[in-house]
Amino acid sequence: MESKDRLLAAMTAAIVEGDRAAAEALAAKALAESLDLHEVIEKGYIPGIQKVGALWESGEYFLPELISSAECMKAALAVLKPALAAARAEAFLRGKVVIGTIEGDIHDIGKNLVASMLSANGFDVLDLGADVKLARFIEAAEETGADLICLSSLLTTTMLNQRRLIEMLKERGLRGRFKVLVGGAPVTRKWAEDIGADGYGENALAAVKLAVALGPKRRLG
Amino acid sequence: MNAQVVLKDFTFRWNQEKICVRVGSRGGLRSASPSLRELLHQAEGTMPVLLRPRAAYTIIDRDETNGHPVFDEAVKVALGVVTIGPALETEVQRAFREGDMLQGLVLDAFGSEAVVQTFRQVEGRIVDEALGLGLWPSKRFSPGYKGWPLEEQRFLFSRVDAAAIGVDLNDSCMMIPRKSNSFRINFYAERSLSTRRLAS
Repeated sequence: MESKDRLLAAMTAAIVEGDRAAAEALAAKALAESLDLHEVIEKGYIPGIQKVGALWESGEYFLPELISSAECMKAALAVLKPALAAARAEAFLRGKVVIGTIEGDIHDIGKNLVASMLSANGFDVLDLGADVKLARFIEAAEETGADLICLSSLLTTTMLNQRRLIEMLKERGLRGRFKVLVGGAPVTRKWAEDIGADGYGENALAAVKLAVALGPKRRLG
Repeated sequence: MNAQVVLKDFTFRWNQEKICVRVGSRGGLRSASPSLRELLHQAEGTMPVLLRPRAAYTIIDRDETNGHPVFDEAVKVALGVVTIGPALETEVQRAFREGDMLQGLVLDAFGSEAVVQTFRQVEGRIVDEALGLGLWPSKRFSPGYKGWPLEEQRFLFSRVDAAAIGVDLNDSCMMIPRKSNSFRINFYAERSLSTRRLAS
């Protein structure tokens, strides 16, 4: 039998290389060998996606590689998830996120990338889609017990709704319950500060880092 | 409303290197993985089915505009809308929904390039019309560009029957299908007023 360390290293490599079939097969193998799934995720897969992020930041990897690896990560997690749920072990998740493109705005490619990267990094993501009513964000966050609300906007006209959503949270006495992250082409750190958001992600990876920093401090594994 | 021209015949020439860069692979095809190359190849093959390019434009006198300062000094103005239709967008959404992110991104990049190529073919025709009238065409500007607010889409759509090519405007002044573009080209009497570079 392959040593556990070799298996974990192979999981990391599968993510870095964007090898979806291998990532899924290794997840199945981990289940078959009854490995500690927290360890599988924390020491096998997460280091892979972290390495991919580092390669992207250093300019060695480009967006397609980042996406391929995120797809592999999601595929592997999908294999593991039923077992994690059965064992009531979903605490490996880094937090629950409600994400969407804000009311009035129909752009969703950037939001999709962020949602995918969050999911690949162990967040439980509810993607509400595009042109999402402000009240729907709040309802979904309450229903799911979300930790984070991520708001995307591609236009200067629609980004005003990011401010409005934060005001609505205050009006309903819910502001302290959810961290609000904002992003999108016209959004800046200054805008995020001005409207009282908890953070601003310049790109998908920055959003993930911010979400990890702001999300609940559940221990992985 | 002035006579409107509707165009349906467009041709596309695909440069996979360019599409690859649009997808975000700054190294171009040279650094593209085999799976990305395969996706590019497959996507190009689906373009004849997914693209339904259309354009509508009209040429009006300046006093038929809403008097916005961007029309100052123009003699005439061409207002138009181009689209590649909804099919590609539907396919992009399907790909994202099913977790095929890279495929979605590749298809979206082809769509963006298709809108640009559609517009350029319309633009060439409008430039020829301006020159045929003895006028000098400006560059192309879209609502949302500096000095011309996005809300001006409503005026543009009041002059162009975009529904004739299947394009609608939502409450936020965004076009549906998303892979559409709207524009104005001012026609000037004086060449010095045009910022477009034209052969003498």
